[in-house]
Amino acid sequence: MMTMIRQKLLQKLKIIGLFYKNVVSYNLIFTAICVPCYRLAGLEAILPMFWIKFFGFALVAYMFYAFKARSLYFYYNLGFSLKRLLAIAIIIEAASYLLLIRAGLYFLKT
Amino acid sequence: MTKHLLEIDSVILRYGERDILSNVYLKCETGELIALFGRNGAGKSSLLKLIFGSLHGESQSVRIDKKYHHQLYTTSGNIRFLPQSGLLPGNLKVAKAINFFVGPSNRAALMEDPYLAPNVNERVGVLSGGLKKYLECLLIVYSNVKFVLLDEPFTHVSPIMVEVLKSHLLKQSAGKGIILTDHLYEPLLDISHRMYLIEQGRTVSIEQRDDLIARGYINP
Repeated sequence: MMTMIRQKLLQKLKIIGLFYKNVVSYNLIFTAICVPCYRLAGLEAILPMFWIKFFGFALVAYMFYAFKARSLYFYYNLGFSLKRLLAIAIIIEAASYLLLIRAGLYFLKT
Repeated sequence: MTKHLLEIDSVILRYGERDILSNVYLKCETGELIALFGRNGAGKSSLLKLIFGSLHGESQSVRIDKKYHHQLYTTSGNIRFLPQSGLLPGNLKVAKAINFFVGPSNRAALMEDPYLAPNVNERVGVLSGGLKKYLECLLIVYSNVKFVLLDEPFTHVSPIMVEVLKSHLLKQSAGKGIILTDHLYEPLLDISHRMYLIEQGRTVSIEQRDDLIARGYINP
């Protein structure tokens, strides 16, 4: 029973990984744009960086839905709704934003 | 084996001013293979998407064993759908795709399939169009679910593979309900237990090939 639950969980994580690789990873471009902003302006760049990430995410999500919506059927068939996929993407993006700030703070101190 | 019943009715689907589906009733029991015919734009794909739950019209009622589902695909173990446009991302390996879609009991059969076995370590993107469709169709058909929807499973597939697919569909229809549509109507006439034609937004029951001729779907 436990093995089955673990296997199901592992499979879900693999699907999320694939979703990140195929869809959300495009948003890394906007994360990359944030890095020099942070280096130049430090903590003052947090708000502009948030908006860069926010609009970047919205743009990527829109482009994907407009041009590659058909590929969502792969995820639908595996039980992931659009809302759930969006929620996952937002969580990953928020985590990467916080990680970026944390890393930035570390490098500013050193 | 417990029988299950999938039903859809009360469908109203419009695109702009155009009524696509308006008076549809369709039911499918596990153990049945149902064919849907219809001209281009008749609403076949839309009907399958409505059942699957990825499309919503002005109204529809999709039920399994009398229980209403707003988005059937989000419920576990009920339904899978092969869309006309394809299913798998190109960077996914065949073996991984089989693991994602098919339960342990059927995995070996697919891994050893004569057409798939030489390609299990390849990425889906390098497969030919026909082989990709064949793989996607088998993944859906061998899924551990009660109902399966297939939109044009025979299109782009070679005649010999169509015969193989037919035998897989017949074999799997013993344990699940299958609804499929394709403009290659001959294979559908061969294997389906019941047939419907979508005409002016309604489903019309078809008994035999002559009915399709009489309704102007195919030439005599």
